[in-house]
Amino acid sequence: MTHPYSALPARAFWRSGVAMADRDSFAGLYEPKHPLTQTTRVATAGSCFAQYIGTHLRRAGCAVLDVEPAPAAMPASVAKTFGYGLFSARYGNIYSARQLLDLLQEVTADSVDPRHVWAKDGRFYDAFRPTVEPCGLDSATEVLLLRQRHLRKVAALLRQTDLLIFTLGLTEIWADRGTGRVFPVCPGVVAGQFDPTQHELLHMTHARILADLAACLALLKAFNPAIKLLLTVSPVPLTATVSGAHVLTASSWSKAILRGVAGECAAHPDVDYLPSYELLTHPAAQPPGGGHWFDANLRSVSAAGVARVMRFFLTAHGLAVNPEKSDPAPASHDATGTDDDALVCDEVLQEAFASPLAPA
Amino acid sequence: MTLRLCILGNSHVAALRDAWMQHPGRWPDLTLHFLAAPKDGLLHTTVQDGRLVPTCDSSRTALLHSCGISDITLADHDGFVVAGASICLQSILPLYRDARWHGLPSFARDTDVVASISGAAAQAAMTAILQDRMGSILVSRLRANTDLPIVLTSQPRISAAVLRSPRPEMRLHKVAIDHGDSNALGANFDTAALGLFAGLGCRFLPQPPQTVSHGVLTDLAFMNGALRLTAAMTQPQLKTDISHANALYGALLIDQIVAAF
Repeated sequence: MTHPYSALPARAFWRSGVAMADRDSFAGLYEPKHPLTQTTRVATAGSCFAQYIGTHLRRAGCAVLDVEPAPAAMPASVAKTFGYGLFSARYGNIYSARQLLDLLQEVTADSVDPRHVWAKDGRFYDAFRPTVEPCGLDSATEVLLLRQRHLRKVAALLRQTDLLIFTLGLTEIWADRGTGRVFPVCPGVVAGQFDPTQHELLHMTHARILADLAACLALLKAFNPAIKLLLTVSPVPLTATVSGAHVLTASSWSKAILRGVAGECAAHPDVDYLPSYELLTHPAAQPPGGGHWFDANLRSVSAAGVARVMRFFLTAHGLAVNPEKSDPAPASHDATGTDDDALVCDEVLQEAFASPLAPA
Repeated sequence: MTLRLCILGNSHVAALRDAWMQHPGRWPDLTLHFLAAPKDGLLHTTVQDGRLVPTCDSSRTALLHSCGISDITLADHDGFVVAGASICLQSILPLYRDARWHGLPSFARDTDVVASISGAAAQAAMTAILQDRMGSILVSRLRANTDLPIVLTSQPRISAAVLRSPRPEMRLHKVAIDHGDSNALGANFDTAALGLFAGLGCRFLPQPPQTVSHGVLTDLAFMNGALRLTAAMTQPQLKTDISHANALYGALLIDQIVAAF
């Protein structure tokens, strides 16, 4: 007698797929839909965790695109501080599908909205990537001019990208009530002024994110019909929540939504999901000797954790893991003074407003 | 009261030394001592017991050959002048090769030729480039050992002679002039140096404006007849030299220095 479970592969059963499996290699956990070779033109975007992907793919000899590289004569320390080399264009952290959608719509329109320039101490910031210019710019005019050129570079990027790897990061996002545009960080944290009559918190639901990603895919296809999308979910918990909930439950909720959306979205033939989130957070995937894949702050992914995910990812694509090849590590932008990450993470800046003795 | 200053640096100290020797009465309340060596010879020094001394025989020899002394006592002076020491506009030109930034006249026109960067990123890059150069290291070394005033004079821009006989390595100067960027580029360099050295506890003195040509070059009148840095100060620079200024330039620098103290 046969039934749907009788012919399933080992990976379909917990005992053979997890409990008795080699949990280092986790055979069958990720079976790529789309090839990734050294000639695949890859673009990366997303939350700060996405910065690792570009770095490791370059080490593996892959063609990771960068349409806004730092000038060769710019010292490396300056380039990192000014947001060069973190992603395939200098868009900074893109934490949400809505933020990506906004960017794609802006690129498609090739038009910059002058309302989204933040000011602070006589300096001016691009509200959609405020940390790529850490000292701000001389004028709003300069912000808008550089954004216009940035948009054209992003358009050029999308036209040549075979595979966009996008890491979903947040579901709590801040938006402008008037324009609907969302920001990578709450107004007032880096620059600008928070105004409750102008700014609103969006709790992005599964349905809204799914719709946003579908719209993103449609716009991506308009630039390049052959483009593929590889989704990951950042394993990095929230820095802070204004939801009223405890940050732990808010993180779980957020990640559950993002993981659910990624799974559903990956049903599309041109979309795939890389289970880096499971590899770093699931109890069954923790280090063999015990412990976890996070640093002491229980938020930043440890170097060993990153290495594990990237080894897994590269191996699945038949690419050589090459940790020895020198490549600039993701930039450190530790604005909070903690030991947080070697990554540039805008949302970490919110932590600067937390008191270590804040009441629960 | 006589102002006692020590001039330190590389081969560009020759212009000051030549001026000092040619015009002994021009600065009656000033005494200058010179401690310099070509290239980075002065970097091979250290401060020991209040004296700036060479750390190796080759450095000692170079200093003696260049100025006749090989060490100084810091407390014997009222202040220090680091001259040239690779703080030059030339060093930031590779950034101009690779990028255009807001503030350069060509920025609005040349959108696809090279990378577009912000004025702030350009200034940060220039500052970082200058920070690794000899002048910055010398100033930091002095500042760590004395509270006396320190000024740094810009190394002269290269000679305007390159306009008449272009050289491949000077192509960027020509590009900057042709694109209308050269004055802004010169001002950017001065701004970056001013900020950097203020942070290091030192006053930066830009190249005297009357000596600057096209923003990125030095007028021929201040370059012709430059001497090499030797104890006797009798050897002319090579005819092909386009880097070193003459005593006329050096005299203007000394005027500038006296005014700064």
